[in-house]
Amino acid sequence: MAPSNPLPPTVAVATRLYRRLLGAYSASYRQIVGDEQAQTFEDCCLFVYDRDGNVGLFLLLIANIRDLLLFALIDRVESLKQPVRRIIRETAYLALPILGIGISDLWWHFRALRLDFILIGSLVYVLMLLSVLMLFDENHVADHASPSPTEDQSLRHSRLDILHANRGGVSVARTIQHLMSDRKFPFARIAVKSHTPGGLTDGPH
Amino acid sequence: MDESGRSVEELLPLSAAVYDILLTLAGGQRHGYGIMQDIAKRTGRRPGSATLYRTIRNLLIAGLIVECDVRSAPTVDDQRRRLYQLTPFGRQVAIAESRRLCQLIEIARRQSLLGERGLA
Repeated sequence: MAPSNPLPPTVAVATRLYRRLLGAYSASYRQIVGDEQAQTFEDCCLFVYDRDGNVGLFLLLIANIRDLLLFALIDRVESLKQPVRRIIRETAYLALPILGIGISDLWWHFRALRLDFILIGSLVYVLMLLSVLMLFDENHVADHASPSPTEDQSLRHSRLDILHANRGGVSVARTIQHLMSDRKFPFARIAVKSHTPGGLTDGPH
Repeated sequence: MDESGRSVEELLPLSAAVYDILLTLAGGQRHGYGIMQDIAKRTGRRPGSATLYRTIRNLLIAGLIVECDVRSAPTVDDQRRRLYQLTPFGRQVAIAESRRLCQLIEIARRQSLLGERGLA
């Protein structure tokens, strides 16, 4: 909502600068309290401007910008922890097929082409496919699993349920559902429709 | 203990900034600027908006405070602001921290660091 009285020019400039600097924070921080923080800073500016004039406003701006940049830096460092955790998890998923390929290569070097090699090779590629599907699903959930505090509580709980369900071992089935519903892989829709009648719900038409 | 099984004692002792906010919200719903004014009035020191909102963000994530869906006394000025209030778990934490501080005060009094009416 626009304020009823226009802001004094110096307050407007200070507020605009502060809003611009809020961009130094991570997107998740700005989503939760970004607007409110800028609004409160504007209120502080008006209070200090009325009491101490432009000098007070300048000192307030300096102090707040220092705080803002310091905490934005801390926020950025904290938000880096999440991708590091994800990389470790993804590496763990990929470690299995890589290990399988290594074993197959060793097998290839020491044995001639035989039925057991073909079976192990097939198993490796199935494991690889499953890992990629699980990886895709984890990323999809991670992108959507950080609700803002303004969201409805029931929605938040349902999102937590989704996260728990994935850990419960139905990850691949959910991934296939996701692929179908988003129409990203038409072949997945056809394959699952023909092989699992009634097993999974169909995507939107 | 809250829904996720955390105990109150795990969160103690609280930082001064966190305790200040919980103390303010124990008196009812407030928006960010209201919390800032209340702290300034009580302590004579106005926290920066970045400090205040970083703490508020952490309290929201920890489930100690929550945004209000219903405003107890809506005014035109408040319409553009978010109001915050304590959760039951947040109140338990504030009570536990207050008791801890009371125990410290009692110890200080026994050590003759405090008189009957304040500083010795």
